[in-house]
Order: sequence, then structure tokens, then C-alpha cells
Amino acid sequence: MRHRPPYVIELTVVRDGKVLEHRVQRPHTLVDQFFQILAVRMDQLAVANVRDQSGVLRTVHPNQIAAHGGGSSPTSHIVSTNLDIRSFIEGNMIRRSSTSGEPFYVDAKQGIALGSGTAATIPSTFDLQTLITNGDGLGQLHYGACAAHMGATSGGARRLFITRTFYNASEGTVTVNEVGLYCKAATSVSTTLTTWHFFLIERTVLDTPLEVTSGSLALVRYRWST
Amino acid sequence: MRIYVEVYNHQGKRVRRVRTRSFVRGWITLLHRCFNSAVTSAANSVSQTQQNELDVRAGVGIDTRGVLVGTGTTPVQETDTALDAQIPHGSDPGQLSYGSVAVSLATVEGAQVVQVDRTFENQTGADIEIREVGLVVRHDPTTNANQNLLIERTVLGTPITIPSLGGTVTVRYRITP
Repeated sequence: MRHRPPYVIELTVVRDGKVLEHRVQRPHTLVDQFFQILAVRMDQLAVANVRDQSGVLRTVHPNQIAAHGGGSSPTSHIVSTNLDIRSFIEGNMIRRSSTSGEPFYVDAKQGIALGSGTAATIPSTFDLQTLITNGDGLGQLHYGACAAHMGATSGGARRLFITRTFYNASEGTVTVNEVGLYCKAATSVSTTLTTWHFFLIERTVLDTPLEVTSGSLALVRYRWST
Repeated sequence: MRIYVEVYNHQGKRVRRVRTRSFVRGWITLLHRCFNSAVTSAANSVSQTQQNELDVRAGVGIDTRGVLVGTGTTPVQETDTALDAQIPHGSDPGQLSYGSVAVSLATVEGAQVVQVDRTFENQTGADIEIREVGLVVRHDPTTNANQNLLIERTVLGTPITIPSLGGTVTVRYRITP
């Protein structure tokens, strides 16, 4: 029986419209936090001792009860954004406005992030080893937004992509050794406020480093399929 | 990530362990909804969108969600949305008594794994064979519209026999790194 991994990581480097490199990396592992948050969703019960990207143990709650803004008789809605990987803003740092009623999340990572670390991933890994930060300076990459979208059916299999672009606006080459995927999950819930924290759910050390030369764009995407 | 279907007899002894072939389309659909947790709701309305994606819980006798078993042998297709021939809950011939679904986290070889268990009892006077196993979860495709969706189906190479007059088996889905 042949067992395909449920997902792979596609890495593409483009410069001036030309594909400089394209490869498919077999993933290493989904880490503990993925299975803990999956259990929250499956059982609709809170799970304690989920380590966030800072290494702090959190309790992840199944639902969020958020006050609904606007209208003459605002009510609440019940939602769950556990496993949300979207990062609308460019850059890997989540900085929310205090006017949104949510706490600040400074320097939190959500979606795909890249790093230069080479240490092996173990189930308890909770962060990239050495993050390549967002920016245009040497050793940095400019992070685009991150989103998940359904792809066309291929060979009878449905595909799901999580995609992010990284642009090297610096003068030097940036070497990528590790790829991580971070999600959001609710860690404190009340009738008026939900607090989220951000969790690493997958980390892969590349078999061969990815060189992103000056002026190049790296496209990284997780491709899930049945 | 690897998925195993394990079957335990009434003594708790594992009698079968199958590494499953794949998830079906429902898995990708719901994973997308989880990763892409868009929440939209009109002002002053109560929305439950996204609340229940992947909820696998099911109580005693609920045979529309959770771990389900059947007698079908049709090979798994990526587009499967149901078991081939589900064995319904009950105590009449050809039926099994469905226990409740239990979800747990366990640490195996240093890693967290998700386990989804369900026990089936044969209260009839004849043996019953299980030939397929499926995992069905709840989701909310639209506001307040809970539906059930098959996310995994496995056809057992060799059937599992549940003895008559009180024989039981426990089916466990184990989701591991």
C-alpha cells in the first residue's frame, strides 16, 4: 500500500518573471500543538497545556463568544477560529489595534513563516529555531499576506493550498532552512472578549537550503490533498 | 500525519490495526474552513458559523456522526460521502448498538496523538461482520445549519466479526504525526 503524505511543501523562487527554482519538500511533522487543537475541535472541550510560540502553556477553548458590534441591540455570536492561519497584513507580525477590543499581539506569527535554523523538529517543538524577520534589510524577507484556498481538483483529488510570498528586497542572499506554519486559537473566553494566542502547528527543515537571491520572490505553499 | 484504525475486543486486546489509505474530500473541505476561519454575521444576528467544524462527538445510539461501521466493500473513492452499507444502531438482526464517541489525547513515543473511540455491541442472535469503518463529523456550511460530513473511510481487508448475544468491539481512530 502506498502512503502519500497528506501534504507537501512547494518552494518556488522567481526573479524577473523567470522561475529560478521549484521543488517539492516532503514535510517533517505536524507538531503537538496541531493535534491538541485538532482534539479541541473534535471534542469541543478545552485542552490545557498547549504551548504557544513563546513557549508558554495555554488552555485552548473550543468556542469564542464575542460581543457583536453595532446596531441598537447587539448580541453575541459564537464562533471558533481555532486553526486559523490567515494573516491579512503584510509582514509576519500581528499588531492589532486596541480599538478593536482585542489585546495587542506584538510579534506574534500567524501563517507561514521562514527561518534559518537547522535543528531537527521534534513533536514538542513550539517555534521556529531562528526566524527570518519581516523587512527589507540584510537577512530579512518581506512577508506577504498568507491565505488558504481550495485548488482545482487534480487527478480526482481535492487540493487545499496555504500560500505566502516572501520578497528579498535586500542586497544580499537570504538562506532559508526551515518552514513553519502558525495558527490562531482562543485561549480566554468571556461574554465580551476573546483572547487569542498563536501556535506553531508544523515545522519542516528543508533537505537542501533555499537560496533567495536579492530581488527574488519566494513562493511557499503547503499543498494538502486527499 | 498518519491515520490508523484499530479494533479492540471485549478484553481490550487489539485485534486489528490498519493504516488507512486516505481521507476523503470532506476532510479537505473542513480543513479549509478551519484554516480559513472566515466569520461573517449580520449585525444583531446570532451566528454559529465555524463553531462546529470537525466536531466528532456523538452520544449513545447516534449513528449519524462519529465512528460508524458498515458491511460495504466498495473501494474507497476520494468523493465518498457515506459508508457503502452502514450498519444501523439497534438490536434487530443486522444492527449494532452504538456506544458514545470518546475523544482523547494521548502521548505516544513522546508525541501527542488524537484518539477517537467508539464501542459497538452485538445484541442480536447472529454474528455480525464489519467490513468498513468511517469517521463522520459535524460542520456548519451555513449559519445554524449543522450537517454531517464523512472525512475518512476505510475498507478492512479482512472483516471483523462481532459475536452474537453481547459481543463487543471498540473501534479507535488514531491520528498521529
